[in-house]
Amino acid sequence: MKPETFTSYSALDFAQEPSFIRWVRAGDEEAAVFWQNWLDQHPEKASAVAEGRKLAQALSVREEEPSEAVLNALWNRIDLATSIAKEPLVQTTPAVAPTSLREAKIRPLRRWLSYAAAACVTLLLVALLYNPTERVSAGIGQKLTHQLPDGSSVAINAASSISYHPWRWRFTRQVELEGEAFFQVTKGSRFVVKAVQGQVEVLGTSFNVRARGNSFAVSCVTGKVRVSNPKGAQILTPGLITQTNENGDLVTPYTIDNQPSGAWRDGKFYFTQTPLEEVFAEIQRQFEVQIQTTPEIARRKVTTYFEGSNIDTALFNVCWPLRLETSTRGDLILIK
Amino acid sequence: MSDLERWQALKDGEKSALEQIYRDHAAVLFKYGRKFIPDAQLVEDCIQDLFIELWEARQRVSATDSIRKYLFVSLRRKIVKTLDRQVKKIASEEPEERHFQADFGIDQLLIQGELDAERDAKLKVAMAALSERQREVLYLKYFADMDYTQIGEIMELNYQSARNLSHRALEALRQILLALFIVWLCNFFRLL
Repeated sequence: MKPETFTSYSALDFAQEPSFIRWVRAGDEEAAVFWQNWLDQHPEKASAVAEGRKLAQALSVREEEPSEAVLNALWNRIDLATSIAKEPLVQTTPAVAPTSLREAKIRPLRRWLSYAAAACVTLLLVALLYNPTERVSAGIGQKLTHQLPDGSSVAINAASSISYHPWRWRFTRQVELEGEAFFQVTKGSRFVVKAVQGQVEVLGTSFNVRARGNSFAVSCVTGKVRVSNPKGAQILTPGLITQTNENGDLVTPYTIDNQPSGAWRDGKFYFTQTPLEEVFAEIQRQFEVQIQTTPEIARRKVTTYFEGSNIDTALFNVCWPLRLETSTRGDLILIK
Repeated sequence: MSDLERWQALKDGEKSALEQIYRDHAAVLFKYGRKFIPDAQLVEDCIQDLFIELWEARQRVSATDSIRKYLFVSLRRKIVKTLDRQVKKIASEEPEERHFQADFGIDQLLIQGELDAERDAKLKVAMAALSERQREVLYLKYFADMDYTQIGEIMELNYQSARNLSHRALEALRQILLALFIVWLCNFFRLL
């Protein structure tokens, strides 16, 4: 401590001087003696010292003192960790002394190798996880044909969509389907169509899948198709159809001669023993109209047919044989 | 035993030296760490890692004349790293932003009378005038007993910058005290 330098000190300087702080805040005796003496010799600095004292004293801090228990517990953890680490170190030091040189040389190489390995793993993960999804949707009143990466083609009916992962296509041919679509699959590995209601597996064939609401129906045109849902599975050969019944079971495959599978692609819609509400739902999807009817009519099962070219003809085809009356109010069609 | 001797004992592999260092400084480190991370558990983890790493690297650590400074520097680095990691996890906002949150008050003796709620609120507003770095420098100076060289090393500043920062912080504090005094005077006259 050089007493002479303090004569030029301002209050701020005093408040920052370590020994001054020790005097003011900690009541350090040695510092106290020094500063009392110094003040006696320099009475002209009394006001600066007083303000410095105030400044140095001013701050208080609200903080939580860690409890003895916390500190002891923490020490025990440190003690344990450092004791474990110590043992192998003591054991190996004498025996490995000559090899430590070699180890030191290997270490950078090993480090680089581990970096390289980490980089490879990261790249692989990115490639696997970065998995763009291709999604193709057909809107209401729309029909689309889409070519999959392996040359298989999908015809997508109105208000339906498919999605798949083009990057992963090579390894798994898998398409997710909402709605109805007709698949023409080129021969190759397993091809899977997944819908919420169930899934269809094939090797190479053409088939139609209809997955709308509660109804799930698959018909096979060529090749062999395996249809499954949580309750069971069925094998389809050409000309056969299976669908879920009221209990959610897949029914035994059956044939319908007058209902060519996937005829909707040519604008022809066939229904066999189907509730009318499903027929109306299809009309709504094809013509962008709203149909209203009574619950009794909606539940009636019919075998019918309509063409997708003209709404009036379609309605006539369906309703006339059943003696149902239609009336139109703008976009809304009432059926009684 | 001086810091230099204790440090040498640690380097020689004396476990008791590590324990003594822990006993001497853990509480201060804990309080300092809590200023950056309110979560006590996380601070404990940082301190635990700090001491384990210190023990494992004891043969390589450089000599130090102030163990407390060495520990503060290490803990601060560890905390900054932890916080950066957290910030990046939440969002890639500027990772430079660290928060030193010391709940400063003014010593009761200096403000005459009781600290009522109104004055407490005013004091909080006044204290907000201190930047986070100013708070940290004041904390290190008055509550952790550090000099400028040590503060500079801890806050990654050179000696002169540490001095300047401290000077500005105290100037700000003086303004706050003055403002509080005026408030007090007004209240006093209003009572009359």
